[in-house]
Amino acid sequence: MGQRGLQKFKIVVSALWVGLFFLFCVLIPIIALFLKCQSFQNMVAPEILRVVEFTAMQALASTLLSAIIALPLGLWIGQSSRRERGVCEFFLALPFSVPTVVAAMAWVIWLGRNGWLAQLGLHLEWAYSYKAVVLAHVVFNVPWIALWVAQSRAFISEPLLEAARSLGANPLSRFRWVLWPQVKWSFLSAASQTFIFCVMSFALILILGGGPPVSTLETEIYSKIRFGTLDISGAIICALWEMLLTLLPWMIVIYLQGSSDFDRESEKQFKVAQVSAAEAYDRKTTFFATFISWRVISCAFLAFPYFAVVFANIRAVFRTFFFDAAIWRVVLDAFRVSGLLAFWTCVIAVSTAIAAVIFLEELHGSLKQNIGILMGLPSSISVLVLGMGVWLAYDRWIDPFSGSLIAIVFLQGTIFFPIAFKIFWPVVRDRPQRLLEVARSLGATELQVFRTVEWPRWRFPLLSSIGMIFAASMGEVAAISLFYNERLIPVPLLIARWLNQYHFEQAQAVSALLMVVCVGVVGLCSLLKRASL
Amino acid sequence: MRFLAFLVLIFSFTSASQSIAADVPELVIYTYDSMVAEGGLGPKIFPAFEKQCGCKLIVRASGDGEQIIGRLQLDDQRKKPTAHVVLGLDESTFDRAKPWLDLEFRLKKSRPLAIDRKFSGAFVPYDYGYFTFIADQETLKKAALVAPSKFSDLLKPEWKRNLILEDPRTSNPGMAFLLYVNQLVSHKAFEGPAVWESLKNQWLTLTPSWDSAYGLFMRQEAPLVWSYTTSQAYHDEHGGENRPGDYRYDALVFEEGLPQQIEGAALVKGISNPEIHKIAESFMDYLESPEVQLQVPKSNWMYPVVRGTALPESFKRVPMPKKIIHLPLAREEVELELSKWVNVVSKSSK
Repeated sequence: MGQRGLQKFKIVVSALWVGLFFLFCVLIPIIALFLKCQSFQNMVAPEILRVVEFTAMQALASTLLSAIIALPLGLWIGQSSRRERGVCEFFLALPFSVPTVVAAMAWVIWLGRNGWLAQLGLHLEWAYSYKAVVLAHVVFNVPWIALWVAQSRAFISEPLLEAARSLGANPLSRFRWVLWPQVKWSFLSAASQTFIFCVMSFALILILGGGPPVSTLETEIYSKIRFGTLDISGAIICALWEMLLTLLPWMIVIYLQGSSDFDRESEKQFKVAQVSAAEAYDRKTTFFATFISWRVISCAFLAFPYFAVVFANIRAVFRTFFFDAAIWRVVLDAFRVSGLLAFWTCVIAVSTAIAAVIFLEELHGSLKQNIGILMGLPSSISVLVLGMGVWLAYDRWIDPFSGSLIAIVFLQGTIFFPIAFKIFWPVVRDRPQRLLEVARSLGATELQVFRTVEWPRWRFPLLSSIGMIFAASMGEVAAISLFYNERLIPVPLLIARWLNQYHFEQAQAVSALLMVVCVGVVGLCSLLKRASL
Repeated sequence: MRFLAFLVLIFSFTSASQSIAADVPELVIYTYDSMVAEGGLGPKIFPAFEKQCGCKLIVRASGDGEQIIGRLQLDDQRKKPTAHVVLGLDESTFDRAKPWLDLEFRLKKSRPLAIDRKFSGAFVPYDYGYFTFIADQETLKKAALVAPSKFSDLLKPEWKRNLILEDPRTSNPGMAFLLYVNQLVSHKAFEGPAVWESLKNQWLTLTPSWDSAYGLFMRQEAPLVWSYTTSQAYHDEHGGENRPGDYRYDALVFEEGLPQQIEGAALVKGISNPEIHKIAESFMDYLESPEVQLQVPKSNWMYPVVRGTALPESFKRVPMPKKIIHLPLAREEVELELSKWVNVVSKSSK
């Protein structure tokens, strides 16, 4: 098969893969739900609009505050040496490995009435209110935006900034004309993603919000599905509003990017030149300077709150795991199931994202943009709603009540696939075509071209996405709650069961262990990334 | 490569093992999560029944009692009834699940019950308990408060942000609290109808479930939590800090009375196989047998429903309410109360 034939084969396979994935995992379940929805009259009911307004306002406030803090932080981290930046990026990526239920527990430990701050004499009375929700969202999302901004900032060469400085540009001008054009898309994409995270926030709102009036569309969906009489129509109406709110910022960013596509090629050339300049300028730092710098301390500070779950439960961990040997069997079983789920979820999400970017690369114009937007769709649908759709659509083949590992894996794969897609898309979009052509013209086979040119560019994004999806899957509850059975008891479910049986200490100990495992996975991926440099 | 093959094997085995046919008849039971968890009632009573009937029990658990109705409703929508028995309904959920239950069913021989209630014969009770606030004496002391003897005392300013409650939209105890308060108002136990306006200042948080509420209570976030009187027995058995003469956790018994919860089982409508029907009937009878009833207190932390069943020492200290408040069961009434409540609490600012 010639190069063109191979290319065609790749596109057909990837298009089929993505098409079937979307058809079976997203479209059919959503259509099944719509068919069950009896009325859309309540779409503008005052009680729904009240929740929509609150959801949008808390997400907007959280995103704005996060963006204001994260932009300068990201720029500051981005100008550090590569080693120092690596350590900073590790800390910035950590919050995404923390299961949200564990994160909420951590905030209770800090902000609660009997929490650490109160014990230190700082009685904020923020817990169980809107303020606690916004604070938790901000601390959770600042690292995400800062991470993206830092990575973009790292591409800007210092000589360029020095040249601007020597030409008399003040800090504001340097930001306006040199920094901003290079970081704006990363910043806006990350900010739009933050808005989506905040709209879909669930565990933090449930645990820290204190109940109505602090309720969002996601918690409304939960109460409509969870309560005895299933209110599918109500859940779908909330899901529609949620999709609208989450797709809006993502669409705006994609269209803004699309409208500035004319300078994409020149921007790419500029970037290539800058990377080499930035690499050449990279400063050598000592071990001490790398690990104990203000930048590293600032990033570690943002990840620190979650470790409260470990520190506060050291006694519980000790008593549970050292004095109760029988518990190990149960805990290890749960971790084995969670690990298996996370592994297959990674396989599904990552492979589909790769197929999606390969397919998308071949498209042009508005079709490319629209399909790009469509790829973000799964992350804007509530897992609970999508899971309900899967129940209704495939009930002939999957008995939801007898448990299905396949259903959990595909459901988690569907919701986590956009994470991998968004990480992989820039890798394909900014492919070094000239380098590839040169390699081919020098007689390299397709495999050699891939190994020497493509693979080094894919390695980091692959490890990043695997780490994030693995950790997120380990702590995911909603998909599991819909399709588990007695042989499929993963860690979050074990925690919930123990809490139901007054076994609070054991549940806290396992939460701490889950946190350590998730952080360990991200840490391991980070180490592998560093080692492969 | 071997590792990958091993994973593929596990993956296919997990999904395929469902279909391994069994020669013995299978009785499918829907129940709530904690029933089947290790240490729960299920693992103590199911194996003995399987031996007794020569059958296999397929127990499918999800969430809490409320979610069982969701399952029945979905089964009905799919036109594919799966379960034969529903275990873990209370009177309210039983009422709402009626369209999917066999209402003609009657136990052949009913045992004398410890509770003075008349049931539809289709509902077979196996345990009961009382909702109430559990007080943490240590946290009360810190806040310079004394446990109240009347529910109406909780509306006083000193109780502001000192209660932990569950959200009635997602939790059974939360719903019981909502209906209990409304019943007290209708019994003129205290002044309504602005009671929720006053109460919403008193709770620290409304949690999505009982376990979240109790978890916060154990962290000493507030001195009172809405739970069961028998939570006190749990602490006496396991708490470590509940010692004779120095009890830390106490169940409060209000002068106005307490709401009761009775848990039971029912047969699902349309069991066509006579052999399965017979097994289902004997399972219902088994629930009231001494083998099950003796296990109830320390597994489900509720009272056994059959009169004369021996209770553990820890249950003997649990106070009994002087008056029982009967909660409304009709679905329409419950939904109306809930929507009124949502309107009141959603308007406040936090």
